Amino acid sequence: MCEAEAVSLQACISVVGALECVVRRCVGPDGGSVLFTKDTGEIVITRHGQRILTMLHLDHPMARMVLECVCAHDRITADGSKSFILLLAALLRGIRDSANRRHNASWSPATNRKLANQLLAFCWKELDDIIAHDVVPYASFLFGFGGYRLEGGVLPALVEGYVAGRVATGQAEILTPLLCEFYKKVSHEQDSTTVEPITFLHSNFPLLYAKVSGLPAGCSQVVKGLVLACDWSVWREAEGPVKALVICESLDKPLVAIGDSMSICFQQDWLLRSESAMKQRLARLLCLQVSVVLSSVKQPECVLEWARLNGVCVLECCDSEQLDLLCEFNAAEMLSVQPMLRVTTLTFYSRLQLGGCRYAHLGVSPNGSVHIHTLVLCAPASGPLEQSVCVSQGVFTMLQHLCLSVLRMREQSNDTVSLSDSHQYQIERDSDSLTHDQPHMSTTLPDQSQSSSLDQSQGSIKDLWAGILKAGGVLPVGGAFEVLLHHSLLHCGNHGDLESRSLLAKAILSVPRSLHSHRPRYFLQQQAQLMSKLQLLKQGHTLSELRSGSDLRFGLGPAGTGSLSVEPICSKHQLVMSVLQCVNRLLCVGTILHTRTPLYRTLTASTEDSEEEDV
Amino acid sequence: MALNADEEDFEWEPPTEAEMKVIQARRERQDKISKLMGDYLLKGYKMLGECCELCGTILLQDKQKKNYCVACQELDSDVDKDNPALNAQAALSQVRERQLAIQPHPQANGAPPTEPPLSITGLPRPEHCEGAASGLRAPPPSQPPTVPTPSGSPAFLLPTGTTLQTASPPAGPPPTHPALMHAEEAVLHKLRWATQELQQAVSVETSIQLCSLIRTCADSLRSLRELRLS
Repeated sequence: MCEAEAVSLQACISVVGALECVVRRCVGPDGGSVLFTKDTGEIVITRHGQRILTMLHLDHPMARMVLECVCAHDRITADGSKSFILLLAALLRGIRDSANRRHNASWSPATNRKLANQLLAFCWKELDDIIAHDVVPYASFLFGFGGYRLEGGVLPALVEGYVAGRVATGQAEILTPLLCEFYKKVSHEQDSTTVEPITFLHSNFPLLYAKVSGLPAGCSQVVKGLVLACDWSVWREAEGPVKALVICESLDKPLVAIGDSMSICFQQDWLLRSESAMKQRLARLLCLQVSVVLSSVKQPECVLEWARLNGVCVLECCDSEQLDLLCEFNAAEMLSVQPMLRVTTLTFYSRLQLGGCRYAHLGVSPNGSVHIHTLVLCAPASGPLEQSVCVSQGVFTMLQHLCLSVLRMREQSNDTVSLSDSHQYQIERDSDSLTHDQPHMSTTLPDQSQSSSLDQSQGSIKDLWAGILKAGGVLPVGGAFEVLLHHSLLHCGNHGDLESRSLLAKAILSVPRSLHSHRPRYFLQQQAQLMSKLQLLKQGHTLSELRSGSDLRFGLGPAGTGSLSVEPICSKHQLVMSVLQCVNRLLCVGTILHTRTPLYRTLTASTEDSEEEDV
Repeated sequence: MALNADEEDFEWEPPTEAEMKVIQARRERQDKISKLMGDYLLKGYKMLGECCELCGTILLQDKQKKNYCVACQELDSDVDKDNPALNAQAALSQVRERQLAIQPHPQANGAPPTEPPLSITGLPRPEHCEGAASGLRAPPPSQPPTVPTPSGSPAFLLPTGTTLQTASPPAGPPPTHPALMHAEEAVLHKLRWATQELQQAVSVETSIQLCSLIRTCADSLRSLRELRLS
């Protein structure tokens, strides 16, 4: 039998309040980390909001729903999981307070649903306009002509803003320049006009880093080419570009196409026959003039012996995904005779000693604007190493989201010809919101028609990052976005949904307040200062001296550097949208039905299911 | 507002100060509960999908599969403290409110208002008994003070007394000076503490000292009562 339970706003607030208390202490560069100890003895130290929440044991359906929303948001922006929970809690409390102010008898679940739909409508219709017209222009004023200049460029400021809140200060100081160097080398610096390097890094990052435990973090470096986490089985020094054979199966397996029938008859000289078949294959390989064999499986000893005799290097047990990347990048040629073999070219190959292990190092020629490099991350223990890897992956996800949003925004504003196109885009976005459950901005990569226009607009960008700065894509970290949005919601425009605006305006400041909880007065000062500066800039005054913007740091970032850290506006925009959609989901829940069988776990035996299902 | 365009809106009044205080207190309690729940979640407790039957808080389960309600086990009850049958303070405040409501009449008569009926019984009793006893005994303030019967305080004279003491039969409530009341409270508190320590004491020397302390407390209480009655 199912038990039904009526859901109240108070239950939502209790659940989200408990999660808020968990993450509140980890917010910001001054926040702490959580140390998790598993029963296996493994220790995990993390500050990442999504990671922390995933490791908690949450059986309550609302808590699981909130966690799903957080994970979905994190997949898109890799940012703001803790802010998500803080904003969600503040918004729910604001809704409860407005319910308390009204007559209690008239507040019912129907009112909840009405308010939920109101908030969602506000999210889709008004929020974009408010941010585009009231927040983004301020950002472009702030960093445009007469405003602040970012020392070192936008990219280091962005990376610093992201990394500083997620790892310890010492680690952040090492990671920030390292990641910027990694990007520069992959994009080959002069060519930073396209988003291709960022997209490449975002999709392939798991294949482009090597972890080395036991070395100090300062030994991290960027090396050219691909590093594979296995050592050469047969090694011979050589120089220059070579041909490489990529193979996914053992060479002594009869290479028969799937679907062919094979008859096996044992003969006395069977061994001899199979050996001669093998010799033929190997001779054919020699004809191809390959000097390197890259195999994703273990090869038999006879193959290794043959390699030794013929001066061929063999690398076994490679990661098949890395080999696929290599072949795709170089457009490897498939051998028509034997479909499991691919032939590609390497610019060099060598052995790399990192820490206590030897790795194989392969050189790959560039493809378009992307030059393959590998990020070697070192740390004394596995905990900080995992954190570094996670943060590095997150940086490229964040940068990719930023680049795509800014380009999309620019494309929409440049698109004078096709009003219908943007209308089409709007329709697509609306249908996305109705059909997809997951809260996300329609971040499906632009389809064919849009990608061609993207390419056109890319040609006109002098420098991708300067373009982002001019378009008002970034704001200083520490609460600038929240302050501006609060101001815009309350003061700009008297049309539209006033109730949602006021609810959101009150709740949005909870995020920077938690960030600066140890010095609230300082935050208020900074808030007032920012608003007065922006009024000046809006009226056309230039700042009297071009400072590096250190007074806008809100006191965050590594002390003494004096450099300003920034964060993308699109991540914050996405955060607010995701939270509003999550609130909608929570408020629209009318009843929770408790079932016997746990629906979210994949049970191993289906017979267990049938015994437990008992209607 | 489109949300609430009913006629009921016109009848709505802002909540009174008392209601605001209640709301504020409830909110603080909820915040405390959330904080405790957050701490337990980090310790490895599991948040269940069920609520406590008594208070409605979400239940937690520890690794030994035992259910745990944060509010019931760790915080004072929200409701119980307002129940006069269980809490002396609630009972006394209820009595006070009732007497304040009818106070204008005796004052018009010219009779001087007596001490607030906090000191109805005169002697501080164990909380759950005192409240009930005093609640039942609410007299109007204009009555002249009557001498309390000696039976009003037999329980405190027991040197080997247990902490649980029964309520005495109703007696007339004399007004008591607050200093005396505080003194009696303090001595009673020490007496209770000494009794508990005595129950747990293992050495002879400690037991002798505790017994002498209890005797001294009883003597003090007797003196205070005599002082009050005189």
